[in-house]
Amino acid sequence: MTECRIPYFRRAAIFATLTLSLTLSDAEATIKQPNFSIPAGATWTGVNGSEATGRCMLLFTYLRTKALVHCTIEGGAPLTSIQLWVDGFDVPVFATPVFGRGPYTFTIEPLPTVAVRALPTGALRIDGHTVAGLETSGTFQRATDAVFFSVFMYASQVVPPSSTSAIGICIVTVLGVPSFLGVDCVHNVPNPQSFTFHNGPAFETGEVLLDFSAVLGDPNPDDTDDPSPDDTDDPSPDDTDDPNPDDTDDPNPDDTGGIYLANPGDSNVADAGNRNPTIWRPIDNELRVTMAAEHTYLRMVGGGESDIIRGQINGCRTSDSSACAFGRFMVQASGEPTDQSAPRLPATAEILASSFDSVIVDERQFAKTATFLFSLTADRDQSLLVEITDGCSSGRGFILNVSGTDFESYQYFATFTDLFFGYQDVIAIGSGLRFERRQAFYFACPPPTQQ
Amino acid sequence: MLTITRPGAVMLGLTLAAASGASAQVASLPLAPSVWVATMEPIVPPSEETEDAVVPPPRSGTCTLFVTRSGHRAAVQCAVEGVTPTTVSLFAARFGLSSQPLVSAAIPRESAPAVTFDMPPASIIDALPANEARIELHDDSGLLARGIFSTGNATWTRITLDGTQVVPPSRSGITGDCDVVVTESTAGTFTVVETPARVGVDCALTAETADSTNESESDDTPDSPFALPVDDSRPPVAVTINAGAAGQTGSTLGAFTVPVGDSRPTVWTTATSSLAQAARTGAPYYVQVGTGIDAIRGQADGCRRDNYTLCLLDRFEVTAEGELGTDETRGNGEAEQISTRLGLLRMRGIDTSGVQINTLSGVTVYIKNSCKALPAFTLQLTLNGGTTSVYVRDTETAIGRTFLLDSVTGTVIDQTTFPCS
Repeated sequence: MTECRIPYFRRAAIFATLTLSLTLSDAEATIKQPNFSIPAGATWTGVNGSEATGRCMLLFTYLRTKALVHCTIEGGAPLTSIQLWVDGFDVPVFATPVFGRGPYTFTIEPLPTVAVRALPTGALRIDGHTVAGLETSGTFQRATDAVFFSVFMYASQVVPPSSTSAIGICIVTVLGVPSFLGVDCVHNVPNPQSFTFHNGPAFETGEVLLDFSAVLGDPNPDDTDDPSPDDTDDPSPDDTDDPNPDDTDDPNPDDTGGIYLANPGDSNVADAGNRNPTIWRPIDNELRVTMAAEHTYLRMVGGGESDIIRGQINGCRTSDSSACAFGRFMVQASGEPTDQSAPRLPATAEILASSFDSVIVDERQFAKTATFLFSLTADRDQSLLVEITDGCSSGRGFILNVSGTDFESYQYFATFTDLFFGYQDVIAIGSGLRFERRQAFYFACPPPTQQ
Repeated sequence: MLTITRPGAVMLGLTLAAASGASAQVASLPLAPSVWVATMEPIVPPSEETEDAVVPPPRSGTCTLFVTRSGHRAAVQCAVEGVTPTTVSLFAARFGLSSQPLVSAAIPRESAPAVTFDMPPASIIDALPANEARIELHDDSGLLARGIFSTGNATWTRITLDGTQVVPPSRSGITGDCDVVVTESTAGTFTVVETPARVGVDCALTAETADSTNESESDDTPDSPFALPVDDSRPPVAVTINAGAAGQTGSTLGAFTVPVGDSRPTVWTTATSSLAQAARTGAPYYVQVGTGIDAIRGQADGCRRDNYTLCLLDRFEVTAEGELGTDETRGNGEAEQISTRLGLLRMRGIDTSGVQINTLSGVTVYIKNSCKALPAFTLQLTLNGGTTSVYVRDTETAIGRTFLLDSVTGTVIDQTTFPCS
């Protein structure tokens, strides 16, 4: 029994170490993710008498280096250019020529700040032009049904584990309607050769469903967008080809050192153009279901024979109704407003305080805090404020509570799940209290990862 | 608003106000322009290090970066000595981004190190809050100085402008708002170059068609010098900041020019001491854009926001006293507005429901305009350890209440209401 549990525990510990080090550490060059990638969609309607209709899907990458756009159109005349506009500005913030009847895919790089800031206010518009003039127009709105996975790719997830110290981190974005997949990665795999999306549960191998290799090292990754989502043409997964399967006993989980590669001059770093591969493309519903079942993973192979990393698309995820805290806890909220607010939503999660990550506990100790807002109505006028505090540096463990509400009468549930230990508990309020705060739950700190 | 009450302690002023009649469009604008400061580390060529030991080491300077509210423009001004950089480059030290500059610009030869970036990339602006944005100054010989941007200490004031506030009122139909940001000066030392106060003006103006009194022949002709550049030969538009209360005129605190035809004009330059003083102390001043019949003006009275003060509208003032934080990532008691979305004024049926959550380090204040339903303003407050007390005052009714920290639990959780009028 012990032999069965130890590997799982080790894997979980490594995962937690990775996650916590990425999200909590103040160490130099660690990753801070104030936001995930941002998906948005715009419905195209014809203007100037055109009968054209269509849709544009957009993804701002989480490093905000670029926006990936995928547009389809039916009817009307063929477009000759697509322009991105921000309300209040006299010129488009981006314009590109296009040909044919689509789908049109292009990348906006560099991504203007003004476009990112315009999206939440409904001020970002995309226009399609023909030789005769404006043909179709639509305003982007942030996608409301997105699910985000934080996927950490490293050697131990490879089957059998590889020996590389390289690491990759991907934000995988999945939209339901329309079904879209975004993969937004950074990595330090030397001389990357292949990047594939597989079907298969954790620690097992599976077939290649999508091949993203074309975006590696391509300075124009938008050229690789394949409008056909069923690239299942590579039936030969090679996870088992690792020539160094005997590195699994390495007790030192500090492979995460790879995340510090941002230091200039690190010769073990892939070319800059290769380190941020991004994909934004439609997928079929079957693949989306497979992802929901956590039976998919990403795999990247570098130039060296042991340069293989892999990451399972599973675990903590963020969506409208759930938020990932410190990569370990999942906070979900739902409820039923009792007044006239309409329409009613399950909950829309928003990480409020990405930079507000510390709060004083007493004179000598401090804890890190993340605050989440769950808006429970469409106009966001009834909200639930949930707070999670990492007091492990002061021995207080993790503290989860509901720190505020904003409604006259409401029944809500907030569920906290510790993915590390599998523990779960629920706060439920049905009395319609305006303000309720409780020191709800204490969770133990993760065990030391150094043996 | 910042008063040192004892060593290591600060008096924090947090002015909050519930929304009352503002349009959602205005409220939904991004928060404000931002200011970032980088302490510039001079790069000493190796050959100079071994020269005469009497030569003092070069002093470090500063570069301040101003980013407009909409993100459409960023401007850098540097105070350095002993070097003449020709290029300013910005980098993001974030994983996945290379060491190549994300944006770079040549410094005009005749000016101090100052450049403006139109449409700056989001990758660099998004890296600023994480202290992951870097600036480098170069000349032909290579790197001269570098620094990492962090949050700058400044005072922000939001001003709404129109023609009716001009003395006497102008005929302009243009409206708009301007954010005025003033940074504090820092004295020079043996190791650090003096940094003057800077002023940033970030306006969003809306040109309207001529009103009935306008003699324009066509309604399509903008009556604004900020609309489309009909005549590029026209002189630039004057922007002035003047001392004085509403309905009065006063001395000029700062005079600037912006190009004609720019409906989102910006200024980022050195501030006079009198302007810095007015911005910091809460003295009334006004901004005037344009002259004569086309002028518009807006008043700045009272409410200011800085790193220790959050100022939304103009009614509730929340003052927290105590040591609010000692961790490495935040200064003492820095105020932070943690949700732009909650800054919206919401309309629900006939009810006006505005809510705002703000947090200091250890203090979360949550205020809601529930006047249509209760009728009262509802204020909820969470105060964690480190702060000794929080004082809430309704500036309209002069009603106040103090919240005290529970010394045992280190936490205060309370709520209160204030009458609507």
